[in-house]
Amino acid sequence: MQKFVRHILVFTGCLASCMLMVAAWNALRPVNQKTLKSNIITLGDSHMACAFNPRFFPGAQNISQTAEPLIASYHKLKYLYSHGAQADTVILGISYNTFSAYNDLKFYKAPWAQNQLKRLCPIMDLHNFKPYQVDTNIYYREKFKQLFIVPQLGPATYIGEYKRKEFHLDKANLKEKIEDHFFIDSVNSHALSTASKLYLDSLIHLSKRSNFTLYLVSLPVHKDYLSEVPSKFKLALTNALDKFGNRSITFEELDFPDSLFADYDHLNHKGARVFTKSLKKKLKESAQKADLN
Amino acid sequence: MLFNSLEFSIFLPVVFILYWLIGSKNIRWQNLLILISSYVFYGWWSAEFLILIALSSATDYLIGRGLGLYTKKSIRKLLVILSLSINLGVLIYFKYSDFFINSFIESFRFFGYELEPRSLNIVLPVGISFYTFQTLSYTLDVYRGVIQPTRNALSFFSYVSFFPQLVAGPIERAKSLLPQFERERSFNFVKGRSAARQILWGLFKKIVIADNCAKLANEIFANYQDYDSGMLILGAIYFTFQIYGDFSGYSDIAIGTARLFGFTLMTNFKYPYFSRDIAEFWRRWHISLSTWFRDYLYIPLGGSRLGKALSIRNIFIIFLISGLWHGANWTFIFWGFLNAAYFLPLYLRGVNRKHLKDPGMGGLQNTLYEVLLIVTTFCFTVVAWIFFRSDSINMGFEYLFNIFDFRFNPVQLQFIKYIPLIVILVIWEWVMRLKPHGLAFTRTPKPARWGIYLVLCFSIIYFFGEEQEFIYFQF
Repeated sequence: MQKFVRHILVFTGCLASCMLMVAAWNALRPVNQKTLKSNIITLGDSHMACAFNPRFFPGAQNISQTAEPLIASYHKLKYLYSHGAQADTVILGISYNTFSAYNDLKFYKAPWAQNQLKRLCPIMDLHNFKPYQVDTNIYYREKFKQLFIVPQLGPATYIGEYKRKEFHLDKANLKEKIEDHFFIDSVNSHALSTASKLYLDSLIHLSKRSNFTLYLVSLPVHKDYLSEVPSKFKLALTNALDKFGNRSITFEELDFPDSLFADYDHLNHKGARVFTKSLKKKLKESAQKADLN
Repeated sequence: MLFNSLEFSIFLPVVFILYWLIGSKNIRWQNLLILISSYVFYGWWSAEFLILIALSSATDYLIGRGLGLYTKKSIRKLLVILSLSINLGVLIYFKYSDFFINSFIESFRFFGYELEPRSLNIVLPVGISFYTFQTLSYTLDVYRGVIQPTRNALSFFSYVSFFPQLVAGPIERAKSLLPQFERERSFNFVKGRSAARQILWGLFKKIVIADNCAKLANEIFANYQDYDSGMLILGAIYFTFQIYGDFSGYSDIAIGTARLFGFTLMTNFKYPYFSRDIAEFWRRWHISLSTWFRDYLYIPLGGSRLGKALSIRNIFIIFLISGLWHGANWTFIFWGFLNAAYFLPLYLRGVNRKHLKDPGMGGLQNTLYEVLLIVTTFCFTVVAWIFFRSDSINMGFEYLFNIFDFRFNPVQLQFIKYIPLIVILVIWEWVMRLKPHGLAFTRTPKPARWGIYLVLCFSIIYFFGEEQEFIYFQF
């Protein structure tokens, strides 16, 4: 019996030692150098992840991730710039759903909470999530795993990348998408997310403190999707773009036919090519205007 | 309390230390500790249903005592009928009331009469099918004179509520488990090490294999109409390994945990997906249930001694009731029917006991032939599992027909990411198929063994928290 207990304790000690080694590796690992050295960073949620292809914009890196709310974008940038990020330009992609209050549920409700907290727990303490409600069990569990169990070998959990999408517009369900983004049930729409507005302002302040130029880009959506978006979310987007003035970029004048969409609110890889090249051109024009002024 | 929970990881060491501090000579105190901890274990889910376990235990203890007192056949028969009525009555009420009511309404609807739907909304007590069968086995064995009735109420109550196997088996026979409560239990390093390994292997199968397969199986089954043939086949395979990892994993944890307390439970799974025919599958899958039905239903019905026609009837009865035992839905009954249909040709040809030795023991040619048989049997099993998993028989058929559409689209990476885990499990278990479980090493050097344990621990901790409930809890 004593031998058994001794063996269990010794094994537990070995296990703990391995976990401490993993923790040391993770703690001492430098912040992603590619991201720190990029000239231009693009971030946002899945709309930006699918729309911006760095292949057509050398020197830029797309760190967008699916379902990323603005609080995550803010803390990612804050973390990167506190560790010496050099990008002088940051492009934040938003869409109509960015200001929907369903974003406020992403840290305590399935199916988002686990993924979101897994990504963000290395760079955000619990109090950083205010005013969002957080599932603290998941937070601590994921923090423990990210520190002691998973040796970080690839890009950090909070660094996203471009996601290539194929054409699936013919199979997409518009009604379901609209309901997910904007409605609590079939009748009542979500409120506007005050936290999203708050963090948009925080991003503007961060850009001034960290000395980078922040652009706000409204991602193109299919006209059928646009026609179903409740007007208060359209107004919220318009107000956000107005706040950024000549640092806001839209693509209303461009025609994005069906063949460029993966579904009703995401571009496919062909759409990403058109979008990225157009964005590059618009940024150049914007920079030239700023120089003239 | 789940085996794969933080509460259990604290509960088990505490009970284990207290148990052996009491000492193996103090059997009564050890049994009392088991009884209290088992009630705490079960009460963690629902304290109100403790009354049912206590009732079931008290009923069969007293009936056992009565069977010991009375020798007159009519009285003994009456006592057994009383036990069956109470135990099965409770089981039928909690598990099948809504099913019978809904089936009744559906049958009237079929003939064009609309009855007002009613549901009793009865909550199913966890593990009721398991402990009910366990107590019934005691009563029936006492009645048949296989064992003597126990006078020790504490032993009996502990036997019924023994927490490692209370809620999802193995369904233990009184003649093998009850005497263990009435004698001194021993512990040594070898037993403890073997038990710990079995628990670790069970946790790996449950948390790493079953729970990950469950995520994808659930997604595919929930949206089966949107997926092509390839994805539907994947969904069926994921469910096949989900139910295996879940149930055999639980059994391994139960058996290992019992061994920590000096108890030996029966083997419940013997690598069933390496079966060469369906008859062998049912000798390797959920052995405690299939032998229970054989001994308490099939043989009393006459077994295979009353001619072909009655034997066939008995086979169908066993499989249909086995299906019904799994759940109150026609899909389970149909699953049982399918298995009976698979089994019958083997029985009629007299080859249902052909494969009694372990697979892969002959030469290369023989082994390759056996692999072909194994794959064929596996495919038949997967088809049956489709109905087991489906919400309705119609859905099962639709799922199957959609597979045979033979539409194949490029598979998304997210749906094949767990296939390597399944492949590793299959290869590992094939290598260990002669051993009682996947970590029953004999000649592996210690550094290699500990390396494997560490990898398993890391993978278990990594996937911990994303758990799905044990499937067999709903039975």
